[in-house]
Amino acid sequence: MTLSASVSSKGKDNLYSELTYEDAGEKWHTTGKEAKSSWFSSFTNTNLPAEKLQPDSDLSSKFESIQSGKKRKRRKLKTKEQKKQHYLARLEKRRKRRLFLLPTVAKYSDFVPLRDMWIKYIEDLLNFSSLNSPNLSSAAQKLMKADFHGCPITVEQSTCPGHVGLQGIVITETQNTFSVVLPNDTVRCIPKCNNIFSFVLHHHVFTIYGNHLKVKPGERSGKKFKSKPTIDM
Amino acid sequence: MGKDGPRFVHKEIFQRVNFLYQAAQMVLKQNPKNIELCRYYISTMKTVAEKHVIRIHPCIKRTYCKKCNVVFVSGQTCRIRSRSQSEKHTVVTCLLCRNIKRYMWRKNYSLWPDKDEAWLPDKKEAIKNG
Repeated sequence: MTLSASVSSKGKDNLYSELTYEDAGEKWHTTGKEAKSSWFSSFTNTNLPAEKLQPDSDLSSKFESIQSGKKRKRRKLKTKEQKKQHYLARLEKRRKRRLFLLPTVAKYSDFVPLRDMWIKYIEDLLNFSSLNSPNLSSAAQKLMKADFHGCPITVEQSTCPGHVGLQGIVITETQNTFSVVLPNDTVRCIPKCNNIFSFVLHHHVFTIYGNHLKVKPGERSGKKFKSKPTIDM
Repeated sequence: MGKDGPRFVHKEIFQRVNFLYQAAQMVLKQNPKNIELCRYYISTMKTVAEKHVIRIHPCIKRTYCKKCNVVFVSGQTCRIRSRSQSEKHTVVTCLLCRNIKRYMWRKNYSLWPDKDEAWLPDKKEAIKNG
């Protein structure tokens, strides 16, 4: 502030101390714009060093701000773009490690109730009491659009001989893989490509051709499936 | 709606959404460390509902975090407090991502599915009759 510098030039030792009434003079509280500016110019002429004096400069606005005394808090206004960015983008999620880190270790016993719930869901969906040979095609259509989380699945055929005969509960599904909990508490990631899965419910055996199911689980329900011939391995 | 009266459109999708929501709750109940799996089920549920333009009922929609998709279990994944600063309201805080959601206690306010305008006349009668 210019005024605090003026105090030091007057001969006081303490820099940046508060202005007292004596420093300001008697007329500091005079009202009226012209009176203020005339008083202010005379004050600066007497107190400021000659180098810092700027002729014809209007300092009356600064004077007012000093007189008011209170400090104004300035809140930083947000622009529209900053306000809009409420939810995280995918890259940002990855950076902050909020992207789904799907489990690599899981207990089989934890997922047994999930399997039971899935069986009830499929019974509700397919209506087993009226499941006959003419209904099977519509049931297959429904099953294509159903959810497979919690399905007790077995690998029937595979190009990889290590996968054949694996049996477990599906935890997660991606575009190209099923990840399955095995009864010995390990999680295996099994690709859909070139694999044939199956599960048994109420004496019906359902086989799933992995090659036809290569869609994301969320988007599968909206997709139209075309019947394609399968080429056996 | 056909000749036989009101039909349930997208029944399979509703069943799937229902199943996924219950799966997310069950997984968290079985083992509280399965947070990522719970988030995964809720996010797939949201994508399924989004694809078919199905509105999720507010009773369900308010029980998971809008930001990080975790199911709220009070004390475990969320904190619920009632405040009366300026206006009385409840504050729900997600303990994992610290997202805050406020619900005002306004007398005139009612949810959209609770209003009469939201219902087709035939359907409401059908529900009343059972």
